[in-house]
Amino acid sequence: MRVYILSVILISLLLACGSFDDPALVYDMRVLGAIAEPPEILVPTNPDDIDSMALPEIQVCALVADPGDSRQLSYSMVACPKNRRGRCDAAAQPQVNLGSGTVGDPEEDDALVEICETLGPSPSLGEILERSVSIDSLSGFGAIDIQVGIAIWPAGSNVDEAIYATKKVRFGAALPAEREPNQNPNLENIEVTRLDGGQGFDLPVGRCGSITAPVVAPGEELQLLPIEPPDVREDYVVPTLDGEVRSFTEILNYRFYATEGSWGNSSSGGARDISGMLPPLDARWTAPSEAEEIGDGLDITVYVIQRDERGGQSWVQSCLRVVP
Amino acid sequence: MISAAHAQDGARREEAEALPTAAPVLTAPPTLLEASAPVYPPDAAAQGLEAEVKVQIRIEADGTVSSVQIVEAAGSGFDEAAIVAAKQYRFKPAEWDGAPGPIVVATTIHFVLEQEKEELLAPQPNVSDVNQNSSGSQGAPVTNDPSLPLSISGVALERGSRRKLAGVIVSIVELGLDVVTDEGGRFAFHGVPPGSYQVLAIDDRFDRFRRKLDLGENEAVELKLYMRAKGGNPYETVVEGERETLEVTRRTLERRQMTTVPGTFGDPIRVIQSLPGLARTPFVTGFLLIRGSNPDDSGVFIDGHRVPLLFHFLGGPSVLNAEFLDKIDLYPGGFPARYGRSIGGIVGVGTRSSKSEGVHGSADIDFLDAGGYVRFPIGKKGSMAVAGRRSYLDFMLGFFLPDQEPGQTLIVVPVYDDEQVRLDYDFGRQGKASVFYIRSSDVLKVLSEDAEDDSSVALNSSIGFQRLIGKYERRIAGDLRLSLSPAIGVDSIGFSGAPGGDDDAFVGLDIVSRSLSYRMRTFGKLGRHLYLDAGLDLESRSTRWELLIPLNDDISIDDAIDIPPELLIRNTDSHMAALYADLAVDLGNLRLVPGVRLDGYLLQSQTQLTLDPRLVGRYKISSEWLAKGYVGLFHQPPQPEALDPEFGNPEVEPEQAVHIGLGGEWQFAKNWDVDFEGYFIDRSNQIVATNAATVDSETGDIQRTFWANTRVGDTIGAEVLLRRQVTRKLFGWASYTYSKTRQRDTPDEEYIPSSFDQRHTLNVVSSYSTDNNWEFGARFRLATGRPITEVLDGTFDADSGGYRRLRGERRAGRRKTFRQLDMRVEKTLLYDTWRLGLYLDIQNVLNTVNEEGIQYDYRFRERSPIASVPFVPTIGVRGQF
Repeated sequence: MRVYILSVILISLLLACGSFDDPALVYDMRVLGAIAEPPEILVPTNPDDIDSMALPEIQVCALVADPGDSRQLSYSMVACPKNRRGRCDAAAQPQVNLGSGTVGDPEEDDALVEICETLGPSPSLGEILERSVSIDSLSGFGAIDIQVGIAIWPAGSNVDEAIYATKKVRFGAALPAEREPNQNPNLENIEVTRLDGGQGFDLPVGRCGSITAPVVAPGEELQLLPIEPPDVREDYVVPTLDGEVRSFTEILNYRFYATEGSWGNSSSGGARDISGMLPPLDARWTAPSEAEEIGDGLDITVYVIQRDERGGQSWVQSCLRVVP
Repeated sequence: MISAAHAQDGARREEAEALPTAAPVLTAPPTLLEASAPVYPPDAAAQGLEAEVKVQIRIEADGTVSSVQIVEAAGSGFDEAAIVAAKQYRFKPAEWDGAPGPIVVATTIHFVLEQEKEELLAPQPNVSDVNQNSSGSQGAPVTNDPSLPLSISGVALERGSRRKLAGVIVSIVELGLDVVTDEGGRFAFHGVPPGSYQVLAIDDRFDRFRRKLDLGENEAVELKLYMRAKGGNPYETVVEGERETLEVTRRTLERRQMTTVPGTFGDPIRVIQSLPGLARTPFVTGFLLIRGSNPDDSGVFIDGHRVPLLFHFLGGPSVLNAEFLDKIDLYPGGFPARYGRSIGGIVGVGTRSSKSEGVHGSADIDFLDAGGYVRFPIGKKGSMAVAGRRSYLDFMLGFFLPDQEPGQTLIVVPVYDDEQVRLDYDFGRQGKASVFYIRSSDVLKVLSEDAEDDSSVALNSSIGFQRLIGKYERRIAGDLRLSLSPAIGVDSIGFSGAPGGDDDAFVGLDIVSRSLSYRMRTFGKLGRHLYLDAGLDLESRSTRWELLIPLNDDISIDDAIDIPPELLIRNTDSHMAALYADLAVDLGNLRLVPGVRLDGYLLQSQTQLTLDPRLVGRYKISSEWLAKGYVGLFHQPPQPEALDPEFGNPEVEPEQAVHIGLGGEWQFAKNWDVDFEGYFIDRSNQIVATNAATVDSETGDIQRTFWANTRVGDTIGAEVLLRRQVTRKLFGWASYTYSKTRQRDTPDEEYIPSSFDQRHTLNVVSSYSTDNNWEFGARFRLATGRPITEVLDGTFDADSGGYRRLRGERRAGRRKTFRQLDMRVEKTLLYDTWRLGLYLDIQNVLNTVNEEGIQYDYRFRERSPIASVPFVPTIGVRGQF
């Protein structure tokens, strides 16, 4: 009996608490999300029948934050077969360059900064799909996933300073016939409740400086509740290994980020629990209270990322102002 | 003033050597029945000379001494006097396999001038003129005639343990009368005239015991002579007879070695981790990492039956109370055919008989746990022993922990307990029977958690096993013995998680494995040059897996397919039967042991057969040098989970290894020896997890393969053990192991170091005892760090919101070298009927920061080391009676 496997698991769990930065607080250059539009394309069941030149274009966009510096950012996007590293830097594997460029400072540029490129039909994409099928343990049964590797670095500096992200693009097999491609989810709004009392509000969408940020007091605790549009959770079907079909309804989960303050819980949603209940969607955030930190007033960027389990995604960027 | 010249002997067995030829098993050492005090050489007495003469005597099957050889001469007439005295000894002869037989023993005869103050000897006989064997205090000879009334009688007992001491010479100094205690430690003097006397008890292993007494007219005096051991705790030394050697490398620990090694808290079984061949275990997991093998490749046996673990969880003590331990045999490779179904090494633990003279027991308490042991006779032929232990870290921490603030993490501590019971019954010539029960349990207990945090996770984990082992052993024909041993057992592993404050688990794993085993063994001499060890080894195991995972109809796995939840309860059955035989053949100085083991497996309705031939050779070059070597084939069945028809692969085959070793032993000085060995282990057909799938070209059905016999690997290494044998004051050893282990999972991969590859391991252990029962010990360990795959950076996974590790070359790096010094001080307080040991055991005296792992931040940029055990002092108390 593999006693030692359990030992390792438990030791890992016991040691899985450290004193590092909270990942829900954004201090420096980070990628917080990435969207593929559309997130899934249905292709013929037999991978040999896929015509890579007939595939539709897919736009991939990344949500980037860089609150610690005022600078432009350079980027590149490359598509390749999925790998554990999440990067497309292996020379031996087929690749498609989606593009590269330079964008303005995500927090200070006049226009909303978007890092977006398009994956279009090409013979190289066909090679990527072919390779992906060959390395898939199920030979593409169900779906073929490829990845887009994203690298972002301060403009003018060495690429060694780059941060990396990866986004899955799914080519789902049209099996069963009634299967529909996934759509990116979306949010109606974020409802904010002041837990210390006072009038709540809907979180405005936009960057600090471009919207009127709601004012909160130092140390004030807020509850942020994502409000989903009706039918945002899609029903979908998947094949089973024994030739049957099963139906599911999407689950949605949320990640919350802020440039200051502290989070009670910074993720919400997800699968039903054992009793069949959906977990709560809200998150709790507490404004900073240090006078030195707040000064005359402090703008805090808040990000909420919405994800489904099939690679669909959307996000909301907002701003809160802490005033003493 | 010299008032008496008294010479005495120490006819104790210091060392028993088997006679040449095929050595049988020494089942009872010789016991001294009669001894005459040697005549003190007059010239030496006049000059005030004292001496010790070391002799070697041959005791025949009738108990007489046939020859005496001087080993270390003293001159001045002492040697001649010693020979004369030794030839007059009479013994209860040694028993080989239960029958009287000759033996050669070494002993020391002491010549000591007794200085007595005149006033202590009143009424003062003219002892200077007394012939020690014929004089009496009143001028008339006193002969200790049994037909005369009993005057002085008693029993010699070991101080602290009340063990009855046979073979102790008890003298009435003034009368020159000597008697020897019988097997029950008893002695008697008859017809002693009234007066004041000094009773002197002498034994080589104990301090001399003196007692004054006044004997009245027609009075009979009963004495208890509590004799104090010289230095250390010799009672804890189990003097074992010669056992047949059917293997090249077996390292057996004696009890004293096992209980006083620093850093082990007096836990005997932990000591094996300081022997060569064992790599240092990561963290404090207690894994057995023998010669580069994975932990699952090595077997742990209690009384011949396999058990799943040897140590309690997370650095806890061994699962067997120290008092129940008879011996530990470590076979790092090339083990005998009676052990099988393992391709690594073997740890064989033997439990001690509960046979007892009266009620004896012990209690042990320290910061972590408390335990107790008691044994007692039941009637004349039966006996019973009971032991138990329970940790109480959960109780202790509960008092000291502050209330948890919201957001604080869980505090989880291991809680363990174990219990053992053994019943023994002696049928005399019809053999002996015993029943042994052991239960061990480990639970991770949540001491504190954030009740307000709905997302916190409570962990409930447990590991436990139970065994009921029966054994019956008797002589069958000639020197052959038969042993029958059935056993039944249950192993269990449980793991579950639940939201904070919620009793309903949302994820869990329960594995229950029920086993039934039976061993029949025939062993003993077949002739003058042949020794056989053959038998049957049956084992059946039924394992049930219950996996609780989120059975949610609203979620599919990442590959966009569905796995039906009804597959999450699984059963696997394994039935194994083996026939084995080792036959030792003595050809002069060469002993060859060809062996074979035939294993049949019925695994998930698949039958498999393996044949393991083995050959061991030992050649005695001289009295100091011995060469040895072996080659053998070993197989082990797949783990139950690998055989599952859905999640495993019922077609996986047993794993295989070839062990080859060559080495020698050199006794270069008295009590010092070196054992060295080079070895090579070739592993093939190893089972490894895969994610392969095949598509049926006709039906299009996809068949996934989760396990396959594609891994191969090998270990090349060398071990050196420099050992100082256990003596009264000093023991210790230094062991060095070089081991290089590599593996590859598929033929197209490059070899990489195995997870448990540890190139250099050095252990130095030493302990010194003083005459006043202080014992000081130290252990130093140095070990190369384990291979690691460096984490270079992280990649943000936009689909999960987490980060993926960017790993460097697989297992190209290593943890830092491990260094640790442990120390131990123990003081034993001796009382007549019990003793108390107080010890301070300090782990990591130098507080060296040893990196066991690395913790990363969420994006794998920042890192901090996870350190091993810091400076940890532990105070313990141990009482024995």
